[in-house]
This record gives sequence, structure tokens and C-alpha cells, in this order.
Amino acid sequence: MSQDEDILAVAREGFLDEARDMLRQFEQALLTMEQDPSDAEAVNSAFRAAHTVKGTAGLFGFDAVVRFTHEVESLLESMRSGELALSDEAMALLLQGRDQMERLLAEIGLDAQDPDVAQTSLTLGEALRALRERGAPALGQGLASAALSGGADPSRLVAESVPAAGGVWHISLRMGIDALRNGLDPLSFIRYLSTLGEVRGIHTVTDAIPDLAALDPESCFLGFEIRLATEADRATIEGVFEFMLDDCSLTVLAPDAASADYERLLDARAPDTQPEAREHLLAAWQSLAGPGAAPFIERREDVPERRANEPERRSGAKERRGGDETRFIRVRADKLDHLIDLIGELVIASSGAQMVARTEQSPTFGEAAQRISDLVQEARDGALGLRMMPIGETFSRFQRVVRDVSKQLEKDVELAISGGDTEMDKQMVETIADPLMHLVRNSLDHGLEGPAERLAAGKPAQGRICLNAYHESGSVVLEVSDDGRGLNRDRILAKAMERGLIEPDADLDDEQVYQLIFMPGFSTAEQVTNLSGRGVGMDVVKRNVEGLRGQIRVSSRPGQGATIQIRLPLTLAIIDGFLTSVGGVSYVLPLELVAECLEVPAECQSQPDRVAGHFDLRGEVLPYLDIGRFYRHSGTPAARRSLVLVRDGSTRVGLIVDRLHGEHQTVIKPLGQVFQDIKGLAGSTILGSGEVALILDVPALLDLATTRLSSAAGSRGQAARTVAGVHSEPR
Amino acid sequence: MQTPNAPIAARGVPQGEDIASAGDIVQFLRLSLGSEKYAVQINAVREILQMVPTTPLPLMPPFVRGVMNLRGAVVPVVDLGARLDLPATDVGRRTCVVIVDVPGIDERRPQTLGLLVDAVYEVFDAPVADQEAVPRLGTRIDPGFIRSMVRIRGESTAELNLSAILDQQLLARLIACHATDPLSEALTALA
Amino acid sequence: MIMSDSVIDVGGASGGWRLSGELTIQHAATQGEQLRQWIDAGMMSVDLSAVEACDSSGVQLLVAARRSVAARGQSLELRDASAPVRDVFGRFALTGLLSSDVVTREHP
Repeated sequence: MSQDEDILAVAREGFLDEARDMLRQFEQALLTMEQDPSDAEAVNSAFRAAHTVKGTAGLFGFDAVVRFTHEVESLLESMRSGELALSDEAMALLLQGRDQMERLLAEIGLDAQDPDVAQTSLTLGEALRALRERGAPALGQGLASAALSGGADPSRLVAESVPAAGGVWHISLRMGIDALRNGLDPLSFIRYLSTLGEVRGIHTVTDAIPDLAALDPESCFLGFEIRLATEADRATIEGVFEFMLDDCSLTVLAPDAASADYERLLDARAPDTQPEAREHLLAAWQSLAGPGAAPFIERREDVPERRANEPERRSGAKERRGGDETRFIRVRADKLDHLIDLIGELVIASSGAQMVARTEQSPTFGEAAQRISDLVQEARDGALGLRMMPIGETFSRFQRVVRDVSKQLEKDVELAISGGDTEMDKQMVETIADPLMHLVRNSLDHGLEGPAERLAAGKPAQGRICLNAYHESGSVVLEVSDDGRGLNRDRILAKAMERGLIEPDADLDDEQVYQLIFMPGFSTAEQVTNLSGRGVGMDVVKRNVEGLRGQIRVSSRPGQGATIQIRLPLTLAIIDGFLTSVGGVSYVLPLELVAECLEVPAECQSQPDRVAGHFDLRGEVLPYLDIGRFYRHSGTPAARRSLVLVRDGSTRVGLIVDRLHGEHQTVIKPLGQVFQDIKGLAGSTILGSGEVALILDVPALLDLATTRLSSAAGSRGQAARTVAGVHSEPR
Repeated sequence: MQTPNAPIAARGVPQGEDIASAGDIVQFLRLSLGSEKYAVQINAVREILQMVPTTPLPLMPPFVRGVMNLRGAVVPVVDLGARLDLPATDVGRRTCVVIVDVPGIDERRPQTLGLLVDAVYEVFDAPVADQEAVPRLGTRIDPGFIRSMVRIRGESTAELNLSAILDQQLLARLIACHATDPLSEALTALA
Repeated sequence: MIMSDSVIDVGGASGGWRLSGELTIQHAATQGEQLRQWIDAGMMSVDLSAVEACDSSGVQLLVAARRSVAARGQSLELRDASAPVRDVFGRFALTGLLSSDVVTREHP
């Protein structure tokens, strides 16, 4: 590709990314509108999203997108200005419109356009237009007669009921020459103003329009002086023009503005060098103020004390910008990854420097090395934070799915979302989205009953799916729960035996039975419907979760519902670690899991060959695992060993190690593909000395210990069972 | 065109330049495992290091020596002799680690591994035409691990089929099984 | 290249010049060109009954057209404005520029 094509390709990707974000926002706003038709902000949000897509598409020349999106935007605009009310028909068309926009975006960059898609643009576009035209009351009359006709337009009625005491604001607007080119038509903003109150008067400044020969029809030469009676505050009024600020000059004067303010405005709009323009403007203001108002007299003398008020009154585009909105910039993911890799290397190098300081026994160097280490830690947290994003965005995608699928299945289902602001590594969010979707569809399809069945069971007709997310002990927990039928233990067992997945005489507890649904080969053709199937399957869900070094658990109450809980590590890159050694090998534990460190209690030392057991901690009986023995490290263990108490879900387990080495910033390095299926190790890291240390995956290690010890014992004895991580109840 | 003396097609993923015509020269690295000499094609070899410290991983089959630090990357180290069911390598003065690249699972990025060997000798050239078929009996190691027989200094030397020996999918499975079930040590022996 | 679905109609039923199609930014260039030609040909009255849509760009065109005609000492009548044109001009309080014939004719 040539360099130009490269640049274009990158810009196009950026556009598509942003457009997809806008479509999400659009859909979310639509669904909100459906729930609450009076939510004006939702209509605005939908309009903004469509407007942004259209505008940016226009810059790139993606005409098909522009043409179709224009119809969507126009329909929303008439809703925004109160001319059209929301109806089922409008909602259906708008949602279809969103889908069509998605299709059009997908076609960008392709050589061949699908004629079906083009046809849909035409028919759907016409439907949108027809609805808009049908719904709008007769606009043939001008502004004055519309107010007289009364009853035809609800927004006008609202305007008339605004008491005059609300205040009349003066809005002076001069459009930038590129405004129309950039997709901003002052017409729509002025239409919208009438929803804030009553436009008492408007003067269109046409002075700047040249004659036809000199006119570039796509440039904008218009200005407006508007008198608006409203109870709204400045922020709301200025908010109407928020889109346009880069392409216009806006001044809003409050009802109690002093004449000095008007003088300043006059100077700005028509300086002394243009006497004719000043005349026109003054005359316009006079006619706007109405026959009873005092004439605008131009005063020549300066009034210094009034000028002091200037910063408050004036609101140019510059001051408005950089305000309360959070600013975002778009960053390439690979650049971010590279930065994080570098910081990882910095962490290791800093560790090495600290080691040298220790060996050289130089306190000054030690201090300097510590300072570097602290800064590196901050930089590390900052960089990792860049990759975090709230999972709520992913969760809200499911609203649409639940709405559509539940209608299709003729079930009444509500989706409740909580913990949407829980943050996760961006890559993990993207990987977990599909498995989550599958779980939601599974609940919709198999878990939840139809309304009749629910009522017969004494439940409310409306079923409920809850998506929940929270942080716990250094992990992110995601839960999908429903109040449907729950899992049928006997049926699962029977099916698993039928498929030869387990021995006929296997003795399994509830949790183990439920885990059978994740085994490959469990789902069958009859279960795989076209809604939740498509070759995804629960085994793929589990594999994806474990690929992220996570665990998946199921709990269920027959007849009442089921909860699937996914536990994932907080980050894949760098963690705060706690360094220990066992049998000459260094192991790192996630610091967040470390609750306490003690000397090994007497009862653990008593039997030399015990790998696991129990001990008493201030009256509480807790399980422990001797890592050295479990991992069969050869050689005699150190004389004085330590016990590290770690959190596992809602309980704690003791891990016996040889030595403790304290906190350690740990850069996680993958172990290599050949180790991808082993349990208990989350990766490796390089210490300052160059030695490779292993990172323990504590929940998986405890699971592994349970499995090995119980199969070794030949029965699920008390000791083996209690070493297992106890699965916390879903919140 | 196949002749009776042409090398048997490589098992698993083809390693390096498989398709060489009769006149071509191929380069080999000669090494020893125990008292036996073997050869590997040089195009898979990235570098050769003297013995380096390795960190052992717990509950591994005998052929997994552990992992090492290769300039900041963590690389698995395989005891090649143990992998071929020869006695495990005793670390001595001449012990080396041969760093190789092999294809990853599902055609993903190639994986880097270190092979622990008793000693390396030299790199030598051998014309393709001099390569002979693998005998079905009488080889010290499993014939499936041998790609061809190469004649060096008059001796017939087995050329190791690294793709088969180090097949990532197979190794991952062997390692995973061994870790979860101590009885699979027996299975490893049969693999 | 003329890319528009706006039909440019010379000599409508009333014997004058009649603009039709859309007086919007997408078609502004074409419509503007048309107006220029007609003005050069001496047009002093334009029939707007067949205009299907109008936006700010359309308003500018018509104001500019009036300016061009005024420059040669005459005035351009904006006649029989269709509903969309009346709507926009009304919003901009420029109804005074339209001919005072209040009867509107919907586009057939």
C-alpha cells in the first residue's frame, strides 16, 4: 500500500471505531426512549449519535451512509423539536434504521455493494421520511400563524404557558463559513430553540450573502439575532448550540443584561468601520424589542465598572470548550501494548538496580533505586489503567438482545444490570463478551419459562436476568443469573451418562454435576437452537474463561433459577506480587490475596509426610497446603518455614513455603504454549537477579490440590474436600 | 518423484525446506545425547548456548527440564534425551542448550524452545542425495522421531524430526495429563 | 456532473420560470447554476410551488438571486412558495421576501 493509502486506511479504521461507538450510544438511547418516552435527554443523545455518524461519514465521502443516516437524523430531529411523538412504529423504524446503518458501515471499503442493502436504504429511508411528513402538523403557515392555530403543536402550547416573568434572553449567532459544509444547518437549532420556550422574535442577518455569481452555495453567510422567552438557564440555552461552537460565533445575553453588554455585542458584530452594518443591527434589535421597548441608544462613553462584568456575560466558543466534558483521545492498541511491555521491562530493570544497591551496600544508591522503583510503580499503574474499561458498555449491548429475543420467544423478560462501572482489562472485556452473550441467550432460551408457566408456578409473569460485576480479592467477578427453572441435576446426570462422559457409578456432588454441562459433547443437536447454538456451546465458554486464567462456577436452586459466576484475574500484565521460595524455586503470590504471614503452626509440622490438613488460627479452623510437599520438591525442607494465609473467595487457606521475600513488582511473562493447559501457575516472571520465578494461580492451585488429593485418597474424604476453594455465594 | 532411497515424508508439520532437489546441499548440526550421535537441520536452530540456569516447574514429566531466561523472554527447556526415552541428561562440562523455533499450535506464532543436549559438535553439509530412508528396526529411538539417515564421516547418523518430537499440541497434552494425574507417568512412558 | 433527482423545469404551466426538486445543500450547486442561467436570461419572477424541500442553503440561494437581480436595478419576485419554503422562511422571519400571495399550492 502507498503511504497515502496507509493513512487513509488508518483514518477509516478510526472512523469505523467511532461510528460503532455512536451506534451503541444510539441504540442505548432508543431503548431508553422506549422505556421512558418523556426522556428528552435520550432523544438528544440519539440525535447526537446519528448526527455524528452522518457528519463524519460526510467528511470521508461515504455517501450511502450519509444519505440514509440523514433520514434517521431528520426523524429524530422532528422528535427533538416536539413535532413528532414517539410511537411503536417510529421505534421499530428507528431500530431498523440503526441496523441498516450498521450494514452500510460494514460495506465501507468493500468493492461490491450488496444490492439488497441498497434497496433497504431506499425503502427504509422512504418509510422514515413518510412517517416524519405524516406526523408533522401543517407547517405551511409562518411562525405567527402557527401560534394562532393553537392545539396543532404541543410544543407551542408549552411555550405560550411560559410566564413572561421567565425572562427574555438575547441570542446573537453568526455562522462560520464552513458550517453548512460540516453538516450544521442553523435551521434545526433554531427549530429546537422553540422547545425551550417562545421565540419572541428572530432577525436573520443576510448582510453577508453575496450575489449569485459570487456565492458558493455550500458556504454559510447567515447570522441571527433571536429573542427567546424561557425559564431555562444559560447552560441549557447554550447547550442547544453545543455542536456548533466550532462553526459559529455565539453570544447569549441574559434577561438582565445591561446596555453596556449590548454595546459590546454591537462592537463585536459590527465595528465602527462598518456604519451601515451597525445601522442595520440596531434597527433589527429595535424591531425585536418590540414597539414598547426603550430605544437602543448607542453610547460613546466607556463605562469601566461595567466592563468588569465581561467574563461572566460573554460566552464565546473558546471559553465554553475545555469545560466539564471529559476529553478522550483515540489511541492505537498496539502502541499501548508496546508501552506496557516497556514498563514491564522497567520494572524488572528497577528490581535489578535495587539488588545491585543491596549487594554493593550503598545507602545512597539504595535510596535512588527505591525512588526509581516507586515512580516505576506509579507509571505502571497508570499505564495499566489505560487498558481498563468499565464492563457496563458490554453489558448494555445485551439490552437489545434480550429485548429482541424475548419478543421472538414470546417471553416477558427484564434485564437488570449492576456493577457496570466495574473496570476490566480491555482485552479481557472483548474476549469475555461472546461467552457472556451465550450465557444470557442460554438463560433466555432454556432457563426462563414462558409467562403462563411462570404464573402457574406462582412466579411473576415477567422473568428476570441479572448481570452483575464486582471486584473481589484481586479478581473480577461476573455473574449471569436468572429466576427461571434452574438446573435439573438428575437430567444432567442422566444425559452425561448417556453420552459416556462419566462412569455410571460416579458419586458427584451438586457442584460437580452442574460442571458437567461444560464438558465437550454435552450439548446436543436438540439443545442447540438457532438462538443459543451456532456451534458456540458451553464448553467453548469454559475454555474461553480458562484461557483468561479464570474459573467458572454454577449454582442453582431448582424451580427458582440459576447463577453462573465467572472469576477473572484483574490484569494480564503486571501485578503487585509477594515473593516466596520453596525448594530453591521462587514463587510469586498475588499480593492482593495475601492476608497474613505466620510461622508454621505446630500441628502442621507434626506429620512429616502430610501434604494438606487443618490448623487453628485464633480459634478458627482453616485448611492448609504444603506447597513443597505437594509439588514434590526434593531435598529436606528448610528448618524454619512460614505459612502464608491467602484469600480464596470468601474463605482463607494457608500455604506453607520455605522463605518469605516480601513485596515484589511482578511482570507477568507467559510460560510458553506447551504449558498452556497446566493448572496452578499463572505465568512466570524474571527477578532482578535474572532468575525465573513462577507465579502461582491460587484458586486454580487449590482446585488442582483438591483433585489430586481426592483421587489419591480414593474417596472424597473430609480433608480433601475442605482444601478446595469454597465457592462464595453469588451476591 | 519418489525413489526407494528418498527420505520418508516428514510427520507432522513440515520442518524447514522440505522440498529440496537432488543437487541441493542441506546443513546439519551434529550433537550427542548420551553416547549416541544425532543430527538436526540447522534452519530450525536459532542459537546455541552453554548450560544456563533453569527454573524447574513442578509436577512435570521427566523431559521438561524447566524454563530459562533468554534475554528477558521465558523459554521452556526440554531435555532432548529424556524426550527420546534415552537416559536423562547429566549436566556436564559440555552440556549445551540449543535454541530452536518450532511451529506453534494451530499455526499461531512459532514457539521458541531450548533443547538440553550433552554436547554439540559441528555444522556440516550433506547433499540431499546422500540422505537415506529410516530403517524400521534397529534404531535406538522411536523411528517416528527420525526424519532421515544422514551419512557423516562414514557413519550413518539419525536426523531428528523436531516437528514430531516437539509437536506443541502433543507436548501440551503430555504435560497437562502428567500434572493432574500421577498415574499418567505410565502413559508418558507409552507415548 | 449533474447528480440530482431534482427536475429542472423550464417554462411551467404559468409561463414563467419554475424551480422544482429540492432547494437543499446537496442540490445547491445545481440549483444555483440554474438560477444564474435564468437571471442572465432576464428572469424577474420565479415560481417556487414545486420546491419539495428547503434548507439554509436554499434560503441563501434565493437571497443571493434577489441580490443579483437588484444589482441591475430590478427586483426578483419569489412567487407561490411551496409549504417547505414557507416553513423555512417563516422560521427565519424572512416571509417578507416571499410574494404576498398567501395562497399556497401543494406540490401535485
